[in-house]
Amino acid sequence: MEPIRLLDLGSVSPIRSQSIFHAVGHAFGPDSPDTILLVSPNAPYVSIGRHQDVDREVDLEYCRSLGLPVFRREVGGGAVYLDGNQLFTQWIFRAEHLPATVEARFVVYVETLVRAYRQLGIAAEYRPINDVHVAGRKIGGTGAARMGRAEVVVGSLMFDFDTETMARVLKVPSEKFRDKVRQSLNDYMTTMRRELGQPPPRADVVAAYLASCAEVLDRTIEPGLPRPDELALAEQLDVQLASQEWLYEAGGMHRAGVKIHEDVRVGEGAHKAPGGLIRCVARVRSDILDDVGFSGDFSARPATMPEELEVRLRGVALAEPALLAAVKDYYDTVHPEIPGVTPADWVAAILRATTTDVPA
Amino acid sequence: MLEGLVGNGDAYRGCEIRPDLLYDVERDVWIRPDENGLLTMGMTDPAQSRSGKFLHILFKRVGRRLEAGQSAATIETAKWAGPFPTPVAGTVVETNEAGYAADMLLANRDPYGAGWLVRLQPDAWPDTDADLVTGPEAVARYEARIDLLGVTCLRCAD
Repeated sequence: MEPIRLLDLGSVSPIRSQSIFHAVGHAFGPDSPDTILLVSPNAPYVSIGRHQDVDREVDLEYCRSLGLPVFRREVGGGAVYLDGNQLFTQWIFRAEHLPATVEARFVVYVETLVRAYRQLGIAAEYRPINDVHVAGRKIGGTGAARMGRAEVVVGSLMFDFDTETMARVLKVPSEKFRDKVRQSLNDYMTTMRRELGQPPPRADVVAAYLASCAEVLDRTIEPGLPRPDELALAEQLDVQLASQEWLYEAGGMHRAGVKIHEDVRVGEGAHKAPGGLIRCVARVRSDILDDVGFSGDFSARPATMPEELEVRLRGVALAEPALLAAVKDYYDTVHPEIPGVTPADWVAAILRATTTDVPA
Repeated sequence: MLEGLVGNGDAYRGCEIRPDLLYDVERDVWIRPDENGLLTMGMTDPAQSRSGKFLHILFKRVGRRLEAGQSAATIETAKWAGPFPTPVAGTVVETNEAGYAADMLLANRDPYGAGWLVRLQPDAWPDTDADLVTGPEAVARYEARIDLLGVTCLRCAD
């Protein structure tokens, strides 16, 4: 098989870090080489998924205040904050040169990231379907799309990640929810800096990644240059992908909640009990209620309520009988005064918060 | 990952290719010419198997004219996004938006029936520019493609 073309473009403008892989994808012709594109943005920005509605997903006012551009991509998934601390690893391949199913494609793609991290001394593992984990923490994200004749798989190698700004750029139902997202990103994401103390030099990371790609794909990789038609299309897409029309295209896809990684998600829900509205923010980890917080207009005594109930619920299996047993146990031992709110009402609020769909 | 998925009887590697339909094999699109002159089209069984369970579809508006190869809808599955290209130039006259609003997995359950995506009024029919095949030739070309890609088809059963 022909060699894979490597386009290592270093550091480029935020929009070019998006437009270039879209351009190579859409310009892909019958004779185009499979291409691995390595690029980082030289300034931060926010990227939203193919069908997300920007107004519902991103705090645009905050982004404007920071001068952060927001771009829609042709790859699916959720909104993400990106900056120069990530090395994007973008594959633009002929469909027949990658495994037929999306899931099988990720097995190959993620394996190259895993091996690169391991060469750098990080105990990375493949977490199906498309995550890389280090001791239960996610490092980077991946996605896939079809562009013209090309199948595209994208992801990143994470030197560092600004969890604070990531939590801030999302449009969320409450500040309590945002706190939970921020805390969860810190608890369940990691980076090369976090694992190694300091991130390795870019050249070392690139060398490890390319060696992994050559090994996993069993193909030769040769440095190359973008073709003039690809660059011309990238210039067009610099404008189109940054246009307001494209950003505000109503995709219609909205899912409450934030997925931190394959096993961890944060959701919010409310339940109207006779004694008042109970709002619940919950974090679920592998079907366990990992963390939970209540607020609302119910009145409760003692003053340790609802915090004490929240503590008791942590670690309980996310199933109605187990949750109800834990709340009843609290009622039986503490005898709280919460007029019009029964144990079943707390459980209903938890289930509302934890059954909301979250983006892939 | 195979929960809720079933193989498709004795089809080729689980993939059903109906010889009575027309196919653009490279684009993985099937077409059924209707008696009223419209073309109903959708994703093939191998295509729905490759992309996975549908999560969201954004249809082009009714009345929109499309060139051959242009996207009549964009599809997002759990881990992939891509276009649904029309092999034939024409005007969108109907979409299956209501069907998918009721059941997003229509194409994953029944790609050639309830899982149709759009109806098009073709600019010209038959379209001599489109690379469409049917009958035994379609089945033979698809079997070769299924072998090339190494794909096995699965349908959602639940």
